[in-house]
Amino acid sequence: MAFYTKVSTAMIRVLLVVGGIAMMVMMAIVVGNSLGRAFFKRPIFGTIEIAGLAGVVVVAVAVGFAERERRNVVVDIVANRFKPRSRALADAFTLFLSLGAVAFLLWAVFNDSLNSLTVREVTLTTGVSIAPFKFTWAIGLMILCLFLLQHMIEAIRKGRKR
Amino acid sequence: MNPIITGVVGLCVLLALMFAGVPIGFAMLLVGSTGFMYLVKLSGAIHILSSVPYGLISNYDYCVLPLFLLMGTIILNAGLGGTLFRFADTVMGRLPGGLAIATIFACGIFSAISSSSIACALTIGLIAIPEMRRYKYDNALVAGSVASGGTLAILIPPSGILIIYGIMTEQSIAKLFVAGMIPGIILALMFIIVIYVWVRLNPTLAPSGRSTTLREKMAALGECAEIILLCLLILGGLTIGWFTPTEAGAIGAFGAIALCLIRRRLSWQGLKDSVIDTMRNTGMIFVILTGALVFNAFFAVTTIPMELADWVSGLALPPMSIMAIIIVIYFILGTALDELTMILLTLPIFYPVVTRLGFDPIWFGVIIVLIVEMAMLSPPVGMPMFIVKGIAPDIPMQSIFKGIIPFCIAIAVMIALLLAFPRMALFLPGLMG
Repeated sequence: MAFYTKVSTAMIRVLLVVGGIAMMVMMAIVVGNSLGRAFFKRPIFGTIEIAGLAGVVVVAVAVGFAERERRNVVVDIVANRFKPRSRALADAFTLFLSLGAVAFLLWAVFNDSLNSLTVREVTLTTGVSIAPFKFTWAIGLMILCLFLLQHMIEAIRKGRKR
Repeated sequence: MNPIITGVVGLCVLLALMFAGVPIGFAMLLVGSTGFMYLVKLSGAIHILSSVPYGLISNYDYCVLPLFLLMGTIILNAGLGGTLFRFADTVMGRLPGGLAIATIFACGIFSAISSSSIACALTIGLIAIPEMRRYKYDNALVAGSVASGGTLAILIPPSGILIIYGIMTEQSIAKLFVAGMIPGIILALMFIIVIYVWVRLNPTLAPSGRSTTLREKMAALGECAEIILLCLLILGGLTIGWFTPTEAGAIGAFGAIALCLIRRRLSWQGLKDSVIDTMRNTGMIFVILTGALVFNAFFAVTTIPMELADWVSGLALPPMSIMAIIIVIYFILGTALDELTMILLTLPIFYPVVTRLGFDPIWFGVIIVLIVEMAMLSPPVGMPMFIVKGIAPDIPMQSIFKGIIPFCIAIAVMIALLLAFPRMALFLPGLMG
């Protein structure tokens, strides 16, 4: 488990750098486009598409990171009343359900990414290939699944210990 | 099972999962996808899962959310809340309850650069609470002014809740932002009046503040002039139509970084922390939005929203009575659910009803935000109250609850005003064409 945690931490660090760069690209291109349009009457070609694709990278990284930090919104007014052991086991169960839902989404997104690659789907204006970004979204969901799995194992261990 | 019964069962299962502790976004995703699969077929569910979330995250218009979050966290990490509060203190400090009024004033300005009530209450509260306590302000007044001031951030643009409402209902985010301006300013003024009257009636709550010279006022203004200019640029640009909300977010984030670097308020570590905070909040919000959109798709095929809208519009009740019932339901839900959950869970049900009754969707967005503000000031999920408690742990919860009551009444009055005079919210969007 310690090795798994180490690897996932290293992985999220790298991804945060990628996500941070994507966020800065998104900001810079939108600002550049606005200034270019306002002052030089020359907007940046394809801003809407490029910013949207950068948004995909940002969100793909962010969903896994939010789960790693356990920031997903939970209504815990009932669960808070459980005893610690029951709470840990209930957490394991809810995380299992969450994992199932995200795994189903991941499967659908992965199939769509493969399809996008096969038909060589591109954006309308700039002609950028969409498949790499769909795969990025799939990777983001896969990382989310890994963190859900990690948290589920931790919850089971916690329940057993108590 | 017919679609309507399937929808009702789906809604019950969703509530059960939520209260069992499944994160709201995953619970919606699970119920939405399995429900859609049951009612349509597996291929339909796969199509929804592959197209709807990707459509959301790759949409240029929705880049507005991380960009405004980035702007807010940069200002937060640069500690610019302090300069805003000091400026507000020099302007308002000599009034009865001056520091509390300055807190609302500073929150109002901060709200124009932050989309989060938590960030607003935290940023201003960290400076205002110790200051008010140093001058022996009553605990209830201290807690009430910071907690209620923080909620202004979700009404005064850029508002995270209005962005999410815009995404869910496909309404113009620019119009929603502009619609929140006048009610936001009026509500801030009402909060100031509440404090003024409260302290006038009971002068022991707060000592009179000292008056400041013009030179002191100008010096304090000089410290935060750029931030105020940035606010004016964003709000003005949106209203006049110089830029779209996404452009406003990007210019705001870029401007905040540039200003903080010039002022040497932002270190490399501060910038990194801001990006990480933004990522964390972006992930949390998009998980919920993804789940909510999938659930919406399922709920639409159950035909419940349309049937409900038909049924309600056929009732012999005036639309305003139905709106009042909806507001009461929201208020009750707000005491049990957090704001995001409440909105995403109820919009698919109430939004078609509201539009069928002829209410303006932009106006309804502002009404929802006001109800959310009230819900945020009610236990057990009112985050701004816990922020006050976190900053000053020795303030009893009883004092915090006592302190927010007058401000909740002010929000209720504001909702009544908006029901009576919808143009308060619709005047500025009407100018946008």
